[in-house]
Amino acid sequence: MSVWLPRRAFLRAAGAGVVGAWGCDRRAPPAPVPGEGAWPGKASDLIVLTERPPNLEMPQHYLSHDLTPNDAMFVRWHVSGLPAQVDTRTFRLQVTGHVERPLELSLDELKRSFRPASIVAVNQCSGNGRSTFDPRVPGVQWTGGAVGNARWTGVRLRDVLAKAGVKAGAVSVAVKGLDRPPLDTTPHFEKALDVAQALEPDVLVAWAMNDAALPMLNGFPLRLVVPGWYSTYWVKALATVTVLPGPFDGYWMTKAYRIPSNDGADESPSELATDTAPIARMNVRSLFARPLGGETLRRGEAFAIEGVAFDSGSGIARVEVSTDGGASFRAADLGTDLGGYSFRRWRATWTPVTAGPATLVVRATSASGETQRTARRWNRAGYMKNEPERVEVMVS
Amino acid sequence: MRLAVFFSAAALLAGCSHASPSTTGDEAPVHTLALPPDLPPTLPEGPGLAEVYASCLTCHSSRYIAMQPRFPRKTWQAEVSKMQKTYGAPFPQELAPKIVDYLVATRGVE
Repeated sequence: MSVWLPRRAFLRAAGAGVVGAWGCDRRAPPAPVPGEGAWPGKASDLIVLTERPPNLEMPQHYLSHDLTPNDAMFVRWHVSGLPAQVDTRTFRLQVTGHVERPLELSLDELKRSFRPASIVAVNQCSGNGRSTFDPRVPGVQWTGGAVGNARWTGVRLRDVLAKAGVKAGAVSVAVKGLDRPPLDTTPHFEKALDVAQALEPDVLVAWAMNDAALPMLNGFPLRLVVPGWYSTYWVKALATVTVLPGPFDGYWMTKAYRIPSNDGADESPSELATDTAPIARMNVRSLFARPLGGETLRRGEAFAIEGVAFDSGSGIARVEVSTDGGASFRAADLGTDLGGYSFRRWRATWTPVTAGPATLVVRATSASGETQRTARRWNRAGYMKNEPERVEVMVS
Repeated sequence: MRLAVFFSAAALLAGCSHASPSTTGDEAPVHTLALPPDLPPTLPEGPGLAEVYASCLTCHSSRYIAMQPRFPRKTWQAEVSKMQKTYGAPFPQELAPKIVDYLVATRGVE
């Protein structure tokens, strides 16, 4: 069905230059290296945080798109045995466990047996912005580009589950991809949704991203899409769906990707939360596409400040921008509404009148009334960052 | 109004320019992924570097370590312990303190 990449020597003769990460983050990780076109299906300017397993961050300027180009969508893998080959003729999606009729669906069967569905939805890593936590926390040191927005096309997971016939008493639905850990002792990356969540109509088994096949690095041939939820649940190279009569007890749910069980997902290094829960829905955020941190703006010239905002599905009601470090805010114009789970682009024109440094701030309010809280969040894993973003520029 | 036009045009462009003509058609049946080899290691010299190379790089590249900010000893201890106990890294127990010492010496704060 598929083969896995062997372990590779860790030495390489290629030289490596240095590019800036997100300019607004002055504590960017050390020496990010351009991809040099080496990553199949990926733009050469993605920031290589790690190469094995691959974790590639999207540069900030791509946030000027409603739909993130497929070659710019960030890449995040947990274990290094990525599928090296997928034969679409022999690949099967297995649906098994606590079901009446276990299924082995070919890609053709999947595409022909169910009604296709499409949704525009934000794909964001739980740890997007981890590198800005204070004090710093271990993990992939994303600055702000572990996020993208795409039109996902596939079939509803609930239709697939209905064909298999979920038995009474089902509690959770585990999802696993073709990727394999390099050691047998390492937990396979497997996640789970509660049955009720798995049966939500928005949850897709997707084969297309922006109307093109998924890049291998983003999960070809199938990926779970859980709109509004962090992408840890969006299992790539999805191959096995297992319905369980009880809670899933795998490592990636019971030990990893957990947040403090309080409203702010907050804790402190000296007082770690004892009560934790699996991370779930995204909080509301707004991000700058431009200017970049450290950019020079011309006094007396109009500049279009731009970016995106999103939440977990209600949509964006309002985006406000400050050009005086947060002392005052004004409303930004909102772009096309592509649906509640999508990026909502925003823009505010600013003509600086005073030379010198300036701090821009952006904050969003969702249609459900959720706002970005100003107090800095901290938790041990660096999840759910959403305080208003700031960017420092120079006016000359 | 001008703004709305700007956004709409951009939406169309973003949506169309990256769409392929077919997602289910006559594409090659076998999709392959050839990943580039690891980048040159960026870990600084120091006592324990050989142990780090021997123990850690089976599962991840050296950049996974180089990417991390400076941490106190107890954080590095917890990380090394997690690699052993949770991820099953098979290095001998007596190497763990050497690895931690290296990490504290090169990426530590006291």
